[in-house]
Amino acid sequence: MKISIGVLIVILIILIISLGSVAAWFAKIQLYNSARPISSFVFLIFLMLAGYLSINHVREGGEIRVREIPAFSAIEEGVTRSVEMGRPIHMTIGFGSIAGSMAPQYIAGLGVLSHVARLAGKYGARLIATLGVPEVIASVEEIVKEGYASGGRPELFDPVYNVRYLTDQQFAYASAVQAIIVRERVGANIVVGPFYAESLIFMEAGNMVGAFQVAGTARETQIPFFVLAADYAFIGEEIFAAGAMASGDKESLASIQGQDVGKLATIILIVLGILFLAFGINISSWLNWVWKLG
Amino acid sequence: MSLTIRRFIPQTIVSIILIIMIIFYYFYINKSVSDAFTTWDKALSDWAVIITSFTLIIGGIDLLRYHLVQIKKIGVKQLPFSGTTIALEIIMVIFALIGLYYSYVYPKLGITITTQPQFTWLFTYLYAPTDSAVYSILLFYIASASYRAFIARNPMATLLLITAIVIMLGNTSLGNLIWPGFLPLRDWIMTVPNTAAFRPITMGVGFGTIILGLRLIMWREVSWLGRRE
Amino acid sequence: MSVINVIDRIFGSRYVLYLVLIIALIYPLIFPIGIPIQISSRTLAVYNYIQHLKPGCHVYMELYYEVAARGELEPNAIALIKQLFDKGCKIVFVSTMSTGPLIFSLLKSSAPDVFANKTYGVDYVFLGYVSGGEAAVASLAKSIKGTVTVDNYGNPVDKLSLLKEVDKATDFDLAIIVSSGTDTFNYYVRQWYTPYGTPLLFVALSVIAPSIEPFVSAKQAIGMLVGQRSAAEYELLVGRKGLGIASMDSQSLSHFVILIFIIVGNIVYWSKRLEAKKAKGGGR
Repeated sequence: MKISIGVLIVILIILIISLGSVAAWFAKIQLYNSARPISSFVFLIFLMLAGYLSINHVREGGEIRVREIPAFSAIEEGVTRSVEMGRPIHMTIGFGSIAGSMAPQYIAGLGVLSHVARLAGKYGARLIATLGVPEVIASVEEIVKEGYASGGRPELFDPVYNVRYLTDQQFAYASAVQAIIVRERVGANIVVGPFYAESLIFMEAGNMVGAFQVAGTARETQIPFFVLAADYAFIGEEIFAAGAMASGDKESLASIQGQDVGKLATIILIVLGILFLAFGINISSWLNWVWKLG
Repeated sequence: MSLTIRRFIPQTIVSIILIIMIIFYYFYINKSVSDAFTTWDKALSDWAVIITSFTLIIGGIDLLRYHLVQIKKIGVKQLPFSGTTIALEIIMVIFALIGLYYSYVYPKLGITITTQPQFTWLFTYLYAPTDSAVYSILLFYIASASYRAFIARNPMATLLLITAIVIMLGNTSLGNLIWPGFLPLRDWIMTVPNTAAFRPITMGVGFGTIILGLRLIMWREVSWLGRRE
Repeated sequence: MSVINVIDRIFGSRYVLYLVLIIALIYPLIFPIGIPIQISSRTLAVYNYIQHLKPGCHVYMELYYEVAARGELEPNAIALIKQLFDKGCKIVFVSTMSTGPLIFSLLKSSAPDVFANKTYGVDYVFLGYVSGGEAAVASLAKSIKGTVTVDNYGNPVDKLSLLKEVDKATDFDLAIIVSSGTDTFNYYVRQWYTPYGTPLLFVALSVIAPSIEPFVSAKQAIGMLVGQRSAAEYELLVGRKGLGIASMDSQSLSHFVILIFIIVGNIVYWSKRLEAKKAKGGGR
């Protein structure tokens, strides 16, 4: 049996980390930060390696089946429907500053935007991308421009019409987006990114004009609103997968399998935890173990 | 722009920063290195603040451009809407200038923008009510969304409907008059099933973020830079 | 047109629903009904915890909310401040949100009676806006005087007598986090509770509550007050009738209206479905 280079690299990394740790433990070297449980580091490395292995598998010609996300497929339906109705498409990624813990969700939103822009180019749809994140104005312009170009309709791009920065203040942004949805009578309303209280405002505005709605966020408190009010919703981490799907790149798509491996590992840990607890052994105290010498 | 500037440099920066963050988060680094890192980290966040402030200017210009084009295109009919926005932008610039002037020319007076009476007036009587008003629209939207969505179409939807009713009655004093058990039942739903449903979503988001990080390190996530073609 | 269709027309229209809701909201504010309020065990637990603090204790209070969230959070904050001041506790206010200074002045102006006999600098202090997010929270935990040099009104912090008594997280008997965001709670758990063990109390919006519930069940916070309902209960406990109690009738009535609409929506849906089934059956 032939062992691929990717697998070798993974084995090497695991060997280096474990041998290094064992050596450091016996040599009494404070290798890890004593404020963080080692288990979280192990889990991070485990997930990353699992994702890497999946990517590697595809790179070497393997096939990986990734479950379909209905909300993602629905975006195309929304775009074509808008074109038939002669109405524009609206897409927004949220407001705030990209320098913070919400950055991954903005990036996921930008990934979906690139997909929407390409579809808009393909079907000749008018796209209105609103945003409240000042740092990414240039990125959004670039994404929409390239989307139209790669869809074969570069002449349709008009930065003033297509990309509209509103404000980074929550409710001013919410009311501006709401106004645009209603005034322009959008045919499809696509809302993906980190959202706060404004999520339902967008959904109801879209509903008022009968727009086809696809929404997604990884902020737990807003997911219920999207599930309730949108036609299709990305739930939680699905928005991160959407970015990979939008790229159309099989290798990045394969990385999603890493997420599923993580979920599987968590389920196993939970089941084991419950079983061990029945015998009076508390796994969580092991998981909280930190590297502390002396 | 060449491919180097558009792809290679940003991706390299992102990968390096991500790896450094992981190392500094998990490994023990001696005090002098970690202090140096803290200084650098602080400098980076300061840069972020400065960049954000400048992008706000770009945003302002973007907004101005849009409204000027709209006025040119549509004419007088657009004025009430676009005119207001432009007027507010001018007010914003004036206040920024006044604030800068006082805080630099008379630093001893301790006048900053937020302590200026005019600003406080605008904030209290203009910004605060409008901000609250838009937030309170939510109540109406929740009501109309519930009318449409809370329908007992199938067993799952029925369960959702019943839960919603219990929570609503538990949240109000009226529910207590109907049956005193609504309040403890609400507390139980919020602490047990609700928390149980929230945790996996939080974990899933964590996994998604880690894998996104992996794609960024490996240069496989490029959508945020525009498309590849 | 059948009766069901007429009902659907009326109830399904946004305008009717919104109009009824507005009436249900405003009427009880003008003419209070006074529906009795039952106190939940969780709110009572928070009240008892504070009652058992020693008189003259030191409390830290973070005000992290914008004006939009004022309606839900301010009554809670005022009721808590009233209870603490009545016990002779001293409070250090701080805000890591840029609108904090304005929020604090609004808070003071809506409860002049609570602040009436209290001296600034001795019984309470407002540090103003401290920038830096989580880093600022961590730095305040280490040393207040090392983080800020002047308070919100430009007084040097060394000159304020209250700040001679307290400086770091361990000096406080309780830290109250009033926040409209989720992240702030995470910051305080990470930077105050985990390293220093300072007891935390959360005051949150109803919509945020589920996401911070894990902290409370993990005992990382002593409890939490959530939204208008908790505010009303707390106002009853401390004996100061405020906006919390006043708006409780509104909340009850508006929830009731929504409930009626949901029930009607279900009746309409099922009647239509049965009708369609019958029509289909008849055609066969």
